[in-house]
Amino acid sequence: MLLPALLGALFVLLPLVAMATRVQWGSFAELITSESSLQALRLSLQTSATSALACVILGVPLALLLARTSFPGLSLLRSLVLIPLVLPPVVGGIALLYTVGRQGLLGQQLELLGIQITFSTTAVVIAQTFVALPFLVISLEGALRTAGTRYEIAAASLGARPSRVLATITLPLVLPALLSGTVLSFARALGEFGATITFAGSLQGTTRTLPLEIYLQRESDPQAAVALSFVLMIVAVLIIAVARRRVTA
Amino acid sequence: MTLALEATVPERGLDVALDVADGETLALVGPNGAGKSSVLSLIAGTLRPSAGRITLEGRLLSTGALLVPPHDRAVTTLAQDPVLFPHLSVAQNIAFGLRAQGTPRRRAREEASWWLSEIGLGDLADRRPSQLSGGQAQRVAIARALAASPRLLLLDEPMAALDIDVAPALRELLRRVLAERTTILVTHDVLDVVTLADRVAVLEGGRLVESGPTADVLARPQQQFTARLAGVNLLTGTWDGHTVDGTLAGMMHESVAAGTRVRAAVRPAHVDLLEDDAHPSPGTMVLARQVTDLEPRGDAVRVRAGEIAADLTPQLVARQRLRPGDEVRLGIRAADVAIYPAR
Amino acid sequence: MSAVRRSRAAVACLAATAALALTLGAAGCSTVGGGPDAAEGDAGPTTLTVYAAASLQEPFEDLGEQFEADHEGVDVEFSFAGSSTLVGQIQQGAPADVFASANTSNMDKLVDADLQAADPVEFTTNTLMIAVPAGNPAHVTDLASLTGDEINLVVCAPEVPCGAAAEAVERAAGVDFSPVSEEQSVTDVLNKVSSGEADAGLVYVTDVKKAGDGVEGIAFPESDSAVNTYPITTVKGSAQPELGQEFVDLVTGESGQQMLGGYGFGEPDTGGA
Repeated sequence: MLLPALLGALFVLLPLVAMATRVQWGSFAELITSESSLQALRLSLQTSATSALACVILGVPLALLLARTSFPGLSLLRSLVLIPLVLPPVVGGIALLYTVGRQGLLGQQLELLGIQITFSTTAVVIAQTFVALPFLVISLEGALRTAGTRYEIAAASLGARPSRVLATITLPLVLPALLSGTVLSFARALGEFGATITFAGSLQGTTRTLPLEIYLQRESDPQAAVALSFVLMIVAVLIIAVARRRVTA
Repeated sequence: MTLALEATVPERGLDVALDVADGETLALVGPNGAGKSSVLSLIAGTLRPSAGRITLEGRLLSTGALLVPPHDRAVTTLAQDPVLFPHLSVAQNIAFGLRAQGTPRRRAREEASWWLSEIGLGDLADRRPSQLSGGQAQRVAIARALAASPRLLLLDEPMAALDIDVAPALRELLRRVLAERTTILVTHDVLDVVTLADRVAVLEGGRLVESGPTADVLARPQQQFTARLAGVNLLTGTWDGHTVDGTLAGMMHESVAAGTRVRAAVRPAHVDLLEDDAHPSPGTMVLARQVTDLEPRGDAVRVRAGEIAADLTPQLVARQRLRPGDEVRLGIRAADVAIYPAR
Repeated sequence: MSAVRRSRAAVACLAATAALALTLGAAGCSTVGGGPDAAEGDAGPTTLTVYAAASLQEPFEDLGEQFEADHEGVDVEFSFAGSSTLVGQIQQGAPADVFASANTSNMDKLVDADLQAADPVEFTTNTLMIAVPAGNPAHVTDLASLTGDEINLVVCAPEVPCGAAAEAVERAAGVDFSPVSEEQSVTDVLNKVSSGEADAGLVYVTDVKKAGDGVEGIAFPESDSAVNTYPITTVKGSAQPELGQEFVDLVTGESGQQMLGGYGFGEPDTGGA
């Protein structure tokens, strides 16, 4: 029991420690404050925050639909929603390309409206939202099922219309799950690479997020790549720590 | 009539019609599975009838085609579980219905605090539901339901989950607050019926089999279920002008033609055991039966023999060494038997 | 016996992976068949491991088959990836017998680490070409027509070789590109062109050739200013240096050059440009 647990912990921790030992601390500050690094970090934080917001806006209704209604095809829909979890992100990127790309399903109409999504920051947000949405939906749907419907029935019986029940009963009851789901999807968006590089491209300040920058720096400046990886890791640890405190408090 | 209900739900074997008058408390009783909960669901709007109509104060709530949603019915349900909202304070819980119906915040708060003192919990306004005892929580639930001022209150065994020592105080609270409120009370407890209900309706197998003012139903039960609730033996037979089926005489307060189906009610405490060869006193009828079982009943022993229950003193039971299977002679005095027409 | 020993080795390997007890590059759990074992036993085939730049995949696979046909009992195994990735792996001790790089700078890294077994030989070249989607919807003609905001131009990032080459031709032509994306690899550029997302991209001649009907190539004179030279060498510590050298000879020899030319590669240009 204890040994596998220790092995499991080591399995996660050791690579992080190993990376920390490879960081050239002497030039660390210099490495991570280059113009391209800072732009990548800023872009990553902005797009991930936007994606997390998009996940809330799209994911809350979806989770409610999955947890509180029944219709033919519901279980199929539930499986489909989770697809981005198991799909390689590159495949997600290709799928998005065929959806809103120039030659894609909606591309023609978008082009008529003068909108080009590929190669834009919007594309980054779309790619991140695509891969992060299931995290929010899963955690929220689970919480909704656990909470059950008895409080909602009681509220309706006291004369509260559905919108009020949602705002004053349903959502407050699952608030911890909503918060942790949002943080998870933010973290997932922050780490997103495959779908972004496939669908959005890579241009400094526009679409080159931190993971893309790290991957690129690996080609020319491995030390900068390691330093940036370490920064990304620290950001991830901070997010998780803050989220856990929030949720358990 | 405030509530008029007429509904069938074939998949639940329900076919029922009942009315509740303005300000009246109707006790809905019946064995488990009789359909009591289904009737409440029909009225609350969580179950759609296949056919029929439900109106409340003249407003159509349900038909086979129409279903006014639960929040728009002015019908509030209080079940045995208080279901207080865990993220709201006690005062916010009570104010919930008022706020939902558009009462301004300040007035809702005032009314909530009035209700808090009404239920005797004035100093617990800011507590969370998790900090309340079971009895306190159910008081808050009552206040919350009533503060929403529903046109009709549905009580679904509101005291079934409470400790036996807090039930009386809560029953007293309900007796006080339910006066003049239109209420349907589902219960298994005769004490609830006699203290709270103006009328009783008996549901069996999805149908209304008996109903009437509480005192009448308990005094002249028509059904075995009601007789058990009233605590009497119920025998059914044909009136021959003097006795029931030629064996049982009793007090008949109305003139009934010979050949009419009648019921005879007698309290178990008024059923005697005739010892050995003792002769029955004049006016006592004797019924020969076989003992089925014995059980303790307060300071007496309840002896069941066929369809008749007799409450005997422990001394008598000991003297006779009564065992299941024994042949016994039971004596019933005509003065203790009430006879009335079957309906 | 040997079966038992192998399964034990596999268990040990599993445990090692799970605990990550070895270095992070601990992918090397395959029971190595070559070397002394193979010499001892008479049956086992000899394996020649060739690390080669991804762009060389098709011609090298053909050459590998030819090599195997010429050398009975020899298995040629390839690892195709970016040149810098491959150099990194060799530095970490990956068991390569031959290394073929897509540029001189990554070969220089190998030489700097003193891991070459012989002097590297430049065996072929590759130059840039404009790739456009089939039908050339944006009517691209030359480098000058790639400038401006209306056109979706995709190039490689300057950090990777094809991006450096793109910068070189940009300078030589005296134009100023404003690409919508600077991709990680030629493949990424090509995919964006073939899917029609980009109107044009700068890739190698061999990539256009490989891409088939979805992509058209447009040659331009300034490509001379960025000729990519491919060097090859045997790797120090190889268990079969002679065999490795024979593979190098095949690549630099006549049939090797013919094969490369068929895939769009150019003659080794020792004169420079």
